[in-house]
Amino acid sequence: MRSKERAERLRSVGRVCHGGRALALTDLQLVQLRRRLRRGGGLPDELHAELKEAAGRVFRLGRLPRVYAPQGVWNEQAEEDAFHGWLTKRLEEEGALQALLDKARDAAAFRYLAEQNFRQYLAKARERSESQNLYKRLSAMLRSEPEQFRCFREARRPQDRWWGLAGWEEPETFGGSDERLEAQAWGLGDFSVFRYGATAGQLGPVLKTPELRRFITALLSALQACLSLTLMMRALQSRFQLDDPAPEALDEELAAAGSAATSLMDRETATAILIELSGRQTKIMLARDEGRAITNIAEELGCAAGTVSNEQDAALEVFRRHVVSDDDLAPMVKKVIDLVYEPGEDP
Amino acid sequence: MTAECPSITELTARELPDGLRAHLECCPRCRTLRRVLPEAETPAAGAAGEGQAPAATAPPARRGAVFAVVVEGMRERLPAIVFEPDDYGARVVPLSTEVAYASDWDLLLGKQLLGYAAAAQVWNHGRVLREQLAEELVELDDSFSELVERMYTAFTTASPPLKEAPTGPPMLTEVDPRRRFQAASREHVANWWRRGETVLAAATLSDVIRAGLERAGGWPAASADDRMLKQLERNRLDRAAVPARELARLLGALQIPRSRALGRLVTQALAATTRPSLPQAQVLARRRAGRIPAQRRPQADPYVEELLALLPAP
Repeated sequence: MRSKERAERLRSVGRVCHGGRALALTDLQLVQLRRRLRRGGGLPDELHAELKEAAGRVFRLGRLPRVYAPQGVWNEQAEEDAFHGWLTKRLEEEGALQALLDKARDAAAFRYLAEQNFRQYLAKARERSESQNLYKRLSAMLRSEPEQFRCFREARRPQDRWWGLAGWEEPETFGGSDERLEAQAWGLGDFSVFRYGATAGQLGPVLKTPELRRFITALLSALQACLSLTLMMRALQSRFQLDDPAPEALDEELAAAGSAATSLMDRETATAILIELSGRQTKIMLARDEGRAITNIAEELGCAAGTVSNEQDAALEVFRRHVVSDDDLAPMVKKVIDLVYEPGEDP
Repeated sequence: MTAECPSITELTARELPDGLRAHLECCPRCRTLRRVLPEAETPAAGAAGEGQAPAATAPPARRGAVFAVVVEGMRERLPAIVFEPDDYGARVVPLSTEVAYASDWDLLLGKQLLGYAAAAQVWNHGRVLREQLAEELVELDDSFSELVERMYTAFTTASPPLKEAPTGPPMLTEVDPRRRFQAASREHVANWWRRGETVLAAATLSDVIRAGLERAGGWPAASADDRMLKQLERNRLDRAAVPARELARLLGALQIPRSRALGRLVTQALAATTRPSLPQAQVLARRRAGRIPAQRRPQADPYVEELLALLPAP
């Protein structure tokens, strides 16, 4: 839907109005609502209105990638569903609303934090929903790559079979704690997480197959013991913060890994990326583009060189959320830089 | 997005407040977004002053309480567990809602405690001024606050993590991505620790000045004359020779905020240049003899009060 139409619609359905103007929460109300909610009261109307307003702003700006939408398309129903999901699952069930209220120093800060939380929720909801697909692919990968993986102990249910590396002789099965398994999974370092471009509408993996293979191989090597599919999933869940897969998903044969979409390198995507970057990350990206050294940037920003590197990595993660593969990163960085330097009237 | 950048609502407002204009001058991200995003309707606000929250009047910090910690310039409050509180500040352990990144030095708090799951970052502890503890959110039960203290002791004495504590998995390698998360968290909370650390770590006013100078890289221009500097170097402060506003200018330039902790150090420095009057000397003698309880506090000094009123909030 075009952003103008969306803006019009949201103006009519998505806002709580009073005398034709939107109501704004005051600092005093914020303090009162924070205490009221902690005492166990339900969600007050004025807070519901403020949250709906925050979600409406995120929609109105029209910079949300299509892949964040539950069905791959943003329309009135999708927006209602997304708001409802955020409100019930993240804000109420997980208690994020109380956390936002605890963190906000004033009403303006609350608005800022709520917008940020909603965007994060949409991005994360997408990633979590993809976990099912990942587990199916893992099962298929283990079965279809005998040169790499071997089943050392059979079982009726696929999730109970124990897998190791193909070259092993009489390996043990892993008998350690979940904590040890999860610690090893984190200890393997970074993996390129698969993301979707702005035009993608299909479900797909969290990790591309080569990265998934690298992760499982490294995990088995580190533990020097066979793992069941259930344990592999636990490691993936902890490391990549995924949902539990439905048990029936494991019994199904693999459907071919659906793949992805092309990235849409347009102004909308560049703006969406800029919204998610911090001011400092933007400055670092611009300075690096000018060829400046990290130490030099650190000096100018008054922080450690390690911080500049970390911020650069975090900024790349934001870019990765919006492109199909790492090949698209550099062109997308250029697109965002062009947007920043685009001639225009000063605000 | 960082706490320093404004929300999209503020960025797309028709009229920009002055503070935001200054931000746009130095932030290419926000300047670009202001240019490319459509203008938003401005929400109706109440009459001036109508909806302002009253100044924070938090109760004294108690061990085991979770407080919202504030710092000037940050719009976000930092929830943290208080321990080792005293009249001037407290050691705190910050709470993070990013529980997926918890390590074996993060104590996991269930949803029932705060209303949301959180990780107490024992490895990220710090000290804050009493004035930064803005609001008590909840109080943890004794067993839990004891666990936090035992974790802290284990951490600071390089002992192994507590087996009985609910934590995340340990970090086994240097490439564990949680190390990057920890570096970012450490830098984030340093914004809250920085305002108080100079004063809380100092035993005298001259320590405060020395540490402030080290941080500033020398004397700020036109902020102090020789007479004042010589006095301060010896931790002496003559109220007749150094007006409170002059000292406030120096401390302000060194970014030392007002606090009870600073007030105590200034009072000490003033006392070092003043011979006690006869009645005062008698009071001191009685106190030494145990006839007056030592904890009775002296009356507020008008010089100190004036000085603190001139300094920025922590």
